[in-house]
Amino acid sequence: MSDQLLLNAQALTKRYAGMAQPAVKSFDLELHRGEFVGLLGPNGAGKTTTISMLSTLIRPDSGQITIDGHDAVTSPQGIRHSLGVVPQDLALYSTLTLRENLTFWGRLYGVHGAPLKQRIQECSEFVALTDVLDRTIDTFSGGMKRRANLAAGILHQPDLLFLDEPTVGIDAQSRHQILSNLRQLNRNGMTMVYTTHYMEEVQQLCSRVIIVDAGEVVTQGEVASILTDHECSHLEELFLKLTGNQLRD
Amino acid sequence: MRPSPFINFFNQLLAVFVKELHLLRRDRGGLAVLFIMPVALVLIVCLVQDNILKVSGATTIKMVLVDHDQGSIGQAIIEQLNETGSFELSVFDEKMSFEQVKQSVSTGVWQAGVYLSAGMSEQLKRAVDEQVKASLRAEPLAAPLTTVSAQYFFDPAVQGGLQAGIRGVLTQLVSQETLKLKMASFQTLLPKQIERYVSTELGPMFGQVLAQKPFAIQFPEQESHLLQAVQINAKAVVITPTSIQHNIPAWSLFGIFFIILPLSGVILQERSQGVFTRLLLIPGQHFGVLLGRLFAYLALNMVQFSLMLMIGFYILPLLGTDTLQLNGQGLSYFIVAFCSGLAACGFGLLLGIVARSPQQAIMTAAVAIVISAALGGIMVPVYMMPTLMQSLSVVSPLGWGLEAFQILLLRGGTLHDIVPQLLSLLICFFLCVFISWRKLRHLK
Repeated sequence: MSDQLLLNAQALTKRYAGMAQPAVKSFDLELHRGEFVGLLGPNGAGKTTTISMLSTLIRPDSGQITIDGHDAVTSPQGIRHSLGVVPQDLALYSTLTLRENLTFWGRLYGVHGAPLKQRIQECSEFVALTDVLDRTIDTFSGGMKRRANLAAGILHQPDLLFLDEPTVGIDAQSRHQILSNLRQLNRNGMTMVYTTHYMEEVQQLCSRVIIVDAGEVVTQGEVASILTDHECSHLEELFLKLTGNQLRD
Repeated sequence: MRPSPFINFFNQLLAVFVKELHLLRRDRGGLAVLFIMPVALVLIVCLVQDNILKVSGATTIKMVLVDHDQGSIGQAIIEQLNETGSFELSVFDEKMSFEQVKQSVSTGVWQAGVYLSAGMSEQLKRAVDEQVKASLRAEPLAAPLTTVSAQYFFDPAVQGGLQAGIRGVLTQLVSQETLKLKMASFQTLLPKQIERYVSTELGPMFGQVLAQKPFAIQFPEQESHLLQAVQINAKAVVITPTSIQHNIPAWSLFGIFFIILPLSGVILQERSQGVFTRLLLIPGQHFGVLLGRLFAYLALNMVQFSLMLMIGFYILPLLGTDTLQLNGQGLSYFIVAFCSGLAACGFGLLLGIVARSPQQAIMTAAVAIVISAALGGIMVPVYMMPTLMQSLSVVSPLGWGLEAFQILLLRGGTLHDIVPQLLSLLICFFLCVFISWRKLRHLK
């Protein structure tokens, strides 16, 4: 991690039409290059809305976002080439092969020709899917689909990667593969914002954690530090202590 | 190094174009809807309607004439029916009876039949002479004359308009023959009557003088028409509205508009998965994505339209129909198909953004296309609809497309003549894209 500020979000607020309460209110975040930040929260806490605003998918009602010195609210097009997103849902065409999918997404991000072929090879090797490059996505298992989803998100070598529950619903082997991939990417300098419901993943991967509930930041800091501050032995205990035991359907 | 915005736009356009073609290549259901359905429809409907148009008089009428008379009337009627060029005439004599011809026509072997009974010419000539003699004597007939009839029948499937037309032709021919006989009779009997009158009224001497220098009368030849009705065509080129000329453009449009199904289906698939999110986050202004998608589907529309034209040129004539005639405006037809494709793609885009599920999109698209086709005159020509439906037909994009095709195909029109229809289709496209864009912003 470097001291160079990559993302600076201040007082982000977003209220959806017809909703009484804002989905996110007064959210602040400073993200340095090479950081791996975990965003935790129960269902409906505002994690996806926060990631959507930070990744320029939706505009905040108020607040500012600066990414790599560019105003991401007023001119999001200027920084999108340096952002990558791995959405919660599979963001690939199921009737296309993995190679066709990666070629498509690569070209949309301005990668083409020999560099594109090279990146497809590197990314498929990285997620251990080289052997199935010419198979259609609908023939993949759940874990393979998630890994393919990750490959599409990193193909254009973004500086900042947003991951929205990338390991949900897959087997232990695939999850292990994805987590080691992410660790490797972060070691290589990629900054990441990661949301998940798996506390142990955050504890393993993230240098910093932000816990949100009802659209507001409940606590944030280095994992060890906030565990000590709240006198908890592990992250799940801290999470339940801060967000309560009520079901969030 | 990042590519320039123009290169980026072009790369995105190409990427989406190739991706859409890959998706369509693997969508067998979509391909069937786009290619097999319109081809099957155009083949079936053209062949079915080819017969219907025959019974409605758009093509040569098959007629049988049984001439038991073997006199001058039969010969004259045969000559004049052949002269019209509208009849494919089969002539029989004693070999076919009255009952046989009636039966054959009623079962559709021929669309119309004429029966001339034995001795008809002779009877008519006698009746005409009687009438002329009575006229010259200025006396009423001693007894009413027996009416001589040339009988005709129709296949019950022949439509009323065509029946009226054939009835008119036959009535005219019969009247013409009667007039000819009357004139011939006058030509013979009038001088004799004058001679008799002069001898009786002025004395035998005058009669002898008249006999030495007989009074002659010569009616003009029948061919010298003093008044005739002449049909004038508005355009130099006039093509008969056959089933092919109507159905090839009509069902091509129907097929073109079915592009809505795969297009809205892909967008809904993207929306239901994370693809849409990722697409919204790509660098650039998304015009490349929109245009690449449109070009892919429009290219498919053009292939589809070309295929339909090939069927009209080569396949349907092999099955016994007429050949499609394009009236020398090839490019204009493709411009109409292109604008229709744009309107269809616009609606597909809108449906893909607005619909909540693939089922809803399929249902809405199918109902909208069929209603628009019905209103637009794809199934029944607009001029045959009730006034209310005719006024509703102006809102059908398929109707605009069909109108443009008909102006080019049947009315000898040019690109200039179809500008209003093309503008309507383009406005429809831009309106759909605008609403989609607004809705997309709302969705985000």
